[in-house]
Amino acid sequence: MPEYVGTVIVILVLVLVVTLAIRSLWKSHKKGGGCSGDCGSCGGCSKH
Amino acid sequence: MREQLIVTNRVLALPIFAGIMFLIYAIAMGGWSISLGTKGTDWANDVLFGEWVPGLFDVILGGLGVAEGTWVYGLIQDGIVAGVGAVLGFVPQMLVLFLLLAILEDVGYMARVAFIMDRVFRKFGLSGKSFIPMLVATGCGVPGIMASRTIEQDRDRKMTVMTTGFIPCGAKMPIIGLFAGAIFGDSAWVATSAYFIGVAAVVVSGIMLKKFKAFAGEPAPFVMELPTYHAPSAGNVLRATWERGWSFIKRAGTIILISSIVLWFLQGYGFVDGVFQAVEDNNDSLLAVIGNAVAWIFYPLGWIGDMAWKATVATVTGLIAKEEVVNTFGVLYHYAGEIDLMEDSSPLWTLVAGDFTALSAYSFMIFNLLCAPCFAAMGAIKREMNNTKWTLGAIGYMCGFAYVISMIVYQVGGLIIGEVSFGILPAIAIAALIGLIYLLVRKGYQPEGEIHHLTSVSAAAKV
Repeated sequence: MPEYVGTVIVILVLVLVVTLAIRSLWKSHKKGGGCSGDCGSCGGCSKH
Repeated sequence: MREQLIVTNRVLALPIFAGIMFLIYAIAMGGWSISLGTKGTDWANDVLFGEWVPGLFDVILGGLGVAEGTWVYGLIQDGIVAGVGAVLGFVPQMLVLFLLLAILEDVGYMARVAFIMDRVFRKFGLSGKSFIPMLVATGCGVPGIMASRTIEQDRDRKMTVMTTGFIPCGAKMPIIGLFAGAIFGDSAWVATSAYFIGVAAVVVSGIMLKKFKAFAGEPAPFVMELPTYHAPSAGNVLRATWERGWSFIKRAGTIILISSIVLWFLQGYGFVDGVFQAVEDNNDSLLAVIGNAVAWIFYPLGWIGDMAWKATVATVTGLIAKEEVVNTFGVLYHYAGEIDLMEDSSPLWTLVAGDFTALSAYSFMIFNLLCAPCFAAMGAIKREMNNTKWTLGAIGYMCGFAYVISMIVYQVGGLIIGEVSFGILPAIAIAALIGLIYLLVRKGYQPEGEIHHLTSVSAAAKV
């Protein structure tokens, strides 16, 4: 396998991971960012 | 009933609370044989993210033909693995801390702490209602700030919003864990002192702010029903622990991952002799240029020399999320160390210890604990204040307070131990300390009209 193919694969995987991370942050921001106070709509923030 | 009399006793309550918190932080973050959190973090830093994960990525990258020394290899190992690994390494300490706090909450003790603190807070112009957001803020500052909605009086609510950020949240714990391990020999006192510095900051701020017209007045009455003591439910405790821990891990996989990539680039590339290229020494990097442009602001806090721009950059990235401070150090020091992670698995703490003295480390820790919280918490402050002037005032107050306290700690502490010689900066720090004492003891604004303080017996007799 040519050397550059491995580099391209790694870059593509990184781009995918970063895209998913940005998407997750954007979705969280649209929901109100962090804890919105409505515990029923959120399953992962620090509930008290 | 007997336990009630001891736990909420006028004299014993606070020492018992202090003792319990010390024990919790000792088990989570201390250097004793019972310090399960530290043992887990040591394993995570030394073995998991020191050998296994870098080794795994080395195999994967090698299999794909990505050679060591290429920029892609550097991005993965020096950027992402070093940065994200530095933060995730503290997960064991976080989970143990969250577990113990969840047990205390579920047992019913934390409700009693709010009752105990009402008596203390009332002397300083706040009520126990202001302590509840602070209890919540030990997990995350955002719900802590939002919990201030339970306070009816506008001035007390504003003051609670302004001071809740002083309590160390879960995201600030890696900062404490890093310096406790690197500089202070895993001493449990570091973590415990950080928590009580936060509480002291709340009390001191309460006393000072109450003397201003905007905040003057009697605190609201505090009535609460104490839940009965009961054995902690395993389901509740584990669920609360997991939710807080998952929030921490999720942030590592999103914002910290992205920040690691950006930081790796900014500290790995710069202009050398006018040519933009990869740099051998990150003191020549773009990030160093940006950091050095601003680092002078923090000289009075003891952030001097080569570490100044690193500490400055770490503090600024901490505004994104407080875990970023450790992530930034992970990327910066791993790169600077040029150490093969698979041969020497604990370079981060050694390199950090080489750049900070005990006093400058404590000053850095205090500043990051007390200064403006992360952007998410600032957003919560904005929502609760519902006023731009008050929002900026709250953030400015926190930053200013943190700056002054850190400066006093470094300059006055340095004078005492001989690290600092007398000059302009120590004189300014002493003047600031005198100013702080004046703001604490002055008479302050008195609302018009007489205020009658009645005990419950006198009030009943008047009816």
